[in-house]
Amino acid sequence: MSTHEARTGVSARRAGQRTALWLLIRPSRADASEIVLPVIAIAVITAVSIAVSTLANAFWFAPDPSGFGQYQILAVAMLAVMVVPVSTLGSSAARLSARRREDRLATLRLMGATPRWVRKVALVEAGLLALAGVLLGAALALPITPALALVPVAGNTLGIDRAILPPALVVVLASCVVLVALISAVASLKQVMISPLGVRMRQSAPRMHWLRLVIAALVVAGAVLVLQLTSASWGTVGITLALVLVIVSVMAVLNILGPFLVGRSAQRRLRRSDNAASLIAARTVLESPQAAWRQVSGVALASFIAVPAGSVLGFLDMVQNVSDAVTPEQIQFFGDIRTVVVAALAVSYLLVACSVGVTQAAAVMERRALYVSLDRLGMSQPVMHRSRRMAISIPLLVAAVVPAVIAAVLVIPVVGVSAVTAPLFLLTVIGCIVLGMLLVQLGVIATFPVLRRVLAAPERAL
Amino acid sequence: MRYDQHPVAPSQQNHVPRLSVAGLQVRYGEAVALNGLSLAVQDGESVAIMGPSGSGKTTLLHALAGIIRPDDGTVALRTLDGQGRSQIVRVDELSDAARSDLRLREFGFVFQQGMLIPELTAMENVMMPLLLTGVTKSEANSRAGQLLQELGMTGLEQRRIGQLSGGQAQRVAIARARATQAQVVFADEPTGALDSRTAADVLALLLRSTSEQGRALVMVTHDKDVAAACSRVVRLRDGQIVKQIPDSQAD
Repeated sequence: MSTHEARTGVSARRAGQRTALWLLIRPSRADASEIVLPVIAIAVITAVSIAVSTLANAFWFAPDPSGFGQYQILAVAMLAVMVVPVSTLGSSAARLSARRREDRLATLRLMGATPRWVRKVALVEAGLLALAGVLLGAALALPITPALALVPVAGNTLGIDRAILPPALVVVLASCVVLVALISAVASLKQVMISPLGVRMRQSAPRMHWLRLVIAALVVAGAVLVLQLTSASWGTVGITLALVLVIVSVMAVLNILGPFLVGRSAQRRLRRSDNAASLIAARTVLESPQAAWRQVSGVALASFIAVPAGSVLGFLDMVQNVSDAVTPEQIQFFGDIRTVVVAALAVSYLLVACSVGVTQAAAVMERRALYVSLDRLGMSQPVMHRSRRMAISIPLLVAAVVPAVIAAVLVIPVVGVSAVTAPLFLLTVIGCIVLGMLLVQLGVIATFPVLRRVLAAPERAL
Repeated sequence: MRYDQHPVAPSQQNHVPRLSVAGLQVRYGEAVALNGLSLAVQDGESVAIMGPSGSGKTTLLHALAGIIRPDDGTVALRTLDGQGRSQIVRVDELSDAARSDLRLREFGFVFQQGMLIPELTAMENVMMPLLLTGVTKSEANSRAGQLLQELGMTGLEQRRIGQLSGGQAQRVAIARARATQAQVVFADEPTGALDSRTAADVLALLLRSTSEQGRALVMVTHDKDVAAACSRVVRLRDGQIVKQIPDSQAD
């Protein structure tokens, strides 16, 4: 074969691969929800990230009378709390788009495609979906701007000027979101073995060694100690690092404890279940407590922070009303902390609700055969819906209540004083948590049409 | 759930088929899956439906079981009302929810992969239709245990479906179909994934649990030996019945 013929052959193959790539990634009406949901999820991530970054940016540059960067610490704390729900939603979106790919990627492997080419298909598709989501998210962020302009920061409302993030920062944020989507796509590919004979999830049975519980307790104790020792003398960098360390270690502990407690809670529900819906819900959770926990883990950190923060704010509110020892600047700072706590709670639950919606849509599609089977058996759709809502409420209750209780125990004196002197603050926090849980349930309800569609076309599952 | 009902006179009860379809038409877009098909199934009958791929076997099964609603024609089921009197229910006229309820109370299913719920244990799978009809957990537990025991599944009750062999899973599916005393059991290639010896065992159990107890069995199969064990064989082609063995039972 001449060099010319070889080159022609290579270029023809590449052109063929490009055509094949397009055939594989082009959207079709049949899998609209597999495309629309990840795009919406990424759009929500982008819009929320822009809003939170705008607030964090405003706090970072706020005039700071204290002199040790208290507003900068607040800005960092705000961004840190957002990391978990944002990454949870990101991985849910990636998982859903991975589900769309799995079957066809297995077929490609059967036809002789290399693993490298398969990865390329996955990455191009994830990248395109992320790009569409980011553009939609940036557009969604625009109508939020007037509302953001009304948020009080350091004594003044943000104003329309400061409510708009510098374009360079928006581009950096958008690039980060696309990058996270690509990394999640690669990670989700690693979780599945795409062989020519099909796709198998790599799952290992959940295990919990008692030693992990001891380590978790030690880490929480260490975190409390760090918080106790932190003082103004550590400086902005020191305090910020301590704060990030505490948040990261508490999150790590919650991620160890969470699946274990979710599993225990599901087992208890299983023993007590006296109807079909709760039996299936408990078994669904027990199938993978980690996966159940992952869906709602974004709520855990918000709950962990909300109770002590709410108590401290209530206590300080009482102090400022009865004492002259609190300066106007301090009162203003307390107000700003309240803004951050409320924003963190609202955004966490919003992101988790989206994440649950996306994950549930993926779960319905992944388990088409199960739902078709239940339908054949005669299980009505309301019972299936109830079962799915119960399956979320088990991990959600653990994620919302357990961290809040742990936090309350850790700072029991403050919570106790606040409960007596300013119960309204504590009740507001609890109300926020309950509202958030309802919001998450709405995320499940939003996926009811997906199940209806699956049952309307049962032959796809068989 | 209340269905539109048509009472059956006591003198006619023995002549009215348990399940019947008349002039059944099912289309998927331009393609005609069932073309004016009529069939009647009596109590205690086992009917094997055979035919080449695309002949409409599974579509017929789905229409009979109320899984799909035909574009034209009637599907009628003889059942009992709350007072124990015979009535005819027009399955094709029922809403989705009413057909779900009908499947739960009147029909049993044994499909190739069993259509069992993988997350649940064998015991829980059999309990499921009982729980859905409002039977208490302890009662469902005891009845499911009894059924599994009768089908030779003692000691395997707490195993998940994935931990059972194909033959064992089909026994669970048969137990589930029996749990609600369903008068009609539908089977779609119930022995398709089994070796010949296990297939023979499962078929014998299926017949013993259905037609030998006066219930109707409607089974889609490609296997001539399986069909030969049934009291009637119906052959389909292009959505129509082309042959019935024995002929005398033609509707």
